[in-house]
Amino acid sequence: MNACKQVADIIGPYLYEEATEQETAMLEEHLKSCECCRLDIARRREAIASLVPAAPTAEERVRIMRMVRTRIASDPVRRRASRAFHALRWASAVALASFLFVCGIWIGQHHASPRQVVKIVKVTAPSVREPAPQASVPRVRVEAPKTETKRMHHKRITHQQVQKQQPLPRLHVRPRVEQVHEASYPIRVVVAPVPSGMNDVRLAAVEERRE
Amino acid sequence: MQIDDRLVARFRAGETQAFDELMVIHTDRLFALAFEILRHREDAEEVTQEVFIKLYNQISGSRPPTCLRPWLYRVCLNICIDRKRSKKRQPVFLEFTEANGSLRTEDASEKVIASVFHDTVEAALNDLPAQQKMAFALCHFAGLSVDEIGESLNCAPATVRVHLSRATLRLRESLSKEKMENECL
Repeated sequence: MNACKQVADIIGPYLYEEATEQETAMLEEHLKSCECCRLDIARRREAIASLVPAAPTAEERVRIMRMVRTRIASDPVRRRASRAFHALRWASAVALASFLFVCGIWIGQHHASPRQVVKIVKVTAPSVREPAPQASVPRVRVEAPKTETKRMHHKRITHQQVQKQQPLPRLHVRPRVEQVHEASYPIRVVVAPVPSGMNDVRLAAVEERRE
Repeated sequence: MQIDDRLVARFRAGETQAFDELMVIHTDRLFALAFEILRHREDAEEVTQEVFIKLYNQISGSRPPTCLRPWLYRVCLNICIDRKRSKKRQPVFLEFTEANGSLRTEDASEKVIASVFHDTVEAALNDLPAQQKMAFALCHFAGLSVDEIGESLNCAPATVRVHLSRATLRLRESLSKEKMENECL
């Protein structure tokens, strides 16, 4: 009985010649001594033999193939893409991507320019008192410098490196003079002369309190 | 399967005749499988056409199926199931016509008896659980191997073997039961 259970799952594939050699040998060995399983297999063969697959007639075959060809030919949207077409499409995509990449590199190399750094000194609390400035001294708005971010640091380092590499032309930078908003104390800014070969404009701010 | 691969390769190389050869090879089995599920010749014919249209689109594209036969018969099963759900047509167990091709014997009385058994076996086949029925149909009507059925149904070959064994057991039991009842009568 245990042997019958062992071969129960082999019978199905055995009937369709899908069992392995080992399974077939085991089953046939068992069938030699088991009348029950022999009868079982015979009845199963009879049952599946009664299920004959329905075959199409000749007319049906011709009709099927004709309709398939007609539908394939009549569909205007369907692309009959061949391997060559797909290869061409991929090649075009790769070529376009390469072209855009090269353009990006070219633009990056040719349009980069050195930056001018304008250092502004922060205006601190009025602790230094100096004589009143002359009337001709221009007043410049001084803003507190921002906390140097990573980007600013990178820009500064880059600029310093560029300076070291080649001397840049002297630039005349005229500070923008505008009306200083009303403050509790006047602010005097002295514009230092630009040394040759440098393009930094250094501004030194001096504060004085209102007397 | 090697023939199918060669024909697909020839078709993709530009030889349209290869697709006609594919149709000739697979028409009978696709029709048999579709008819077994739908039990209607016109529906089986339309399903066969749909399968070939899908096959054409698939092998024309950039990703043809690696194993053609499991894919092909799986598509056929899916279309049949969808069609059956949409139409909700009741299966006709037996159409007693010569064109049916379901009966083998020629003697009239034996034909009647055979038709009863066929009816019984068909009814038992319809009562099988879905996976067992599909595995049996793919094996018996489509002629797929155990490995191909496993690939088609996305299950292990060992599971397919179990399905086949249990399906044939139930068919045998239904046939035995019918025979016993006829003997009693």
